[in-house]
Amino acid sequence: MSTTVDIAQATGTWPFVAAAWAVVFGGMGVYALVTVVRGRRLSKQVPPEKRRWS
Amino acid sequence: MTTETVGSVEASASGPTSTGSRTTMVLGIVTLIALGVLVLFGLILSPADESQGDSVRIMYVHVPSAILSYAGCFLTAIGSAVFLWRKSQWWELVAYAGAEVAALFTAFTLITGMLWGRPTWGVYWVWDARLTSEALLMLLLLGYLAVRRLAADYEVRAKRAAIIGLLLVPNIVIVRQSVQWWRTLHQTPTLSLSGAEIQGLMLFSLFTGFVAITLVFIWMVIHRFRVAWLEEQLEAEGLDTAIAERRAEGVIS
Amino acid sequence: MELTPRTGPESEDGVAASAAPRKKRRMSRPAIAVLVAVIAVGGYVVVQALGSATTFYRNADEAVAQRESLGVKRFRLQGTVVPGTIVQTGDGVTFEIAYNGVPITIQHVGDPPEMFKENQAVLLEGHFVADGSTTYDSDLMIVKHSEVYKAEESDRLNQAEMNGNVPVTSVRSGS
Repeated sequence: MSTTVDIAQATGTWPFVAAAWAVVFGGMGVYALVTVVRGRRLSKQVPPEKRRWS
Repeated sequence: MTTETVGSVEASASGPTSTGSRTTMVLGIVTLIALGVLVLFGLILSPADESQGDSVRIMYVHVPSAILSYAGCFLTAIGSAVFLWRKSQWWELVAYAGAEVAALFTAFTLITGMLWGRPTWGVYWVWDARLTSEALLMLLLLGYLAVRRLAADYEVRAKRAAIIGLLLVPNIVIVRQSVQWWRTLHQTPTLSLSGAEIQGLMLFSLFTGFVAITLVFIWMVIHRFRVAWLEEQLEAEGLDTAIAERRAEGVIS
Repeated sequence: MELTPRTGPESEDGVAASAAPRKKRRMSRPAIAVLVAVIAVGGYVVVQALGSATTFYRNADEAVAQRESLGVKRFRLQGTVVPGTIVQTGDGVTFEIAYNGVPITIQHVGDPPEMFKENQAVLLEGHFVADGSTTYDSDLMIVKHSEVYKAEESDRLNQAEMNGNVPVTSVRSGS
């Protein structure tokens, strides 16, 4: 019994690990991209003296 | 990220053409390196757990996501308090940026928690005190963002949102203490003042998770704050233009 | 005073100018509605959670002590699987759990979770088979983990040291 449990454990949990990491890394990537794109679009409409952060 | 910041350096004479700056570029590069280190230790170098197997690796993104979502909520609560006290728009925008990033990390916490629960507990979800209070935190953050974005006068929506922002603190205390105050399926904290129940490469992987996700959090809050700042500048500018137009028409003398 | 930005010529005819204040008044109601909804749902969830949280589960010893009042009512039960009691049945598994030395016989219907094993803390949903009985019918089993983590390798060594032998059945294909 313990042998079957261990094998199921070793093969069965990687998809969950992969999904969890994909959600976090993918989510962070998408959010970062969306924020940067929004910032660039808005920057074009706001006069330069109101965006001084460099 | 790199090209965007190069752009801002070129255009520095007339102000950056994005929310990037030299600081955020350096921060962005360091963050990407830290994320690489996290992948290396979390997925490859760290060992599997003796009872949970490889699913323990979910912890290295789940726990940092949860802690940083609390950090975002605290930022929102502080920003909200300062805004309500002094009517500081700068702090109100900090609160808004913090809330959106906190909502993102709370979503990560819930999703990774469910994906961790299925292989270890056998179920995705259970309505115990920890999971319920965490779901409530997500709801409160969504409520904050909904109220903050409603089409109303800035003062009105900012004030309403700030009141919700203050409620985040008691909610976090409940989330954090739920595993001590009540019986829950969720385990008690892995890291506490009484000592860590985790050692060696596993502890180090969790540490790299904290470092990497904290850097991501800081980068995101800075950029999101600048986007919010630009939005408010645009709105204020629209208001100025409208006043100028009315003046020209002779509506306001 | 009306100060919405004028973007195009269509605002000159006064349509946008008269629509804007009405829109503003209409918008404050959804804001209150969202706030009320959040507070209502949140309050409901908090009351539900706090009401059931103190008795989210009963430990085996408490359940046995309260078995007269529990009857065949449904409740969550927690205990540690007693080694050597696991028997596979046609539609599930039977075993004993214990807490503070008080055992309860479990008749579980359905596949146990992958991590179900001896000496593992489990949470069950179900009820006693009869009034005053210490046999429990379960249809949901959840494995309860502690916050203690240990690398696979080092634990096998510890186990070997403690038991004086290496567990031969523990062939792990992952490592």
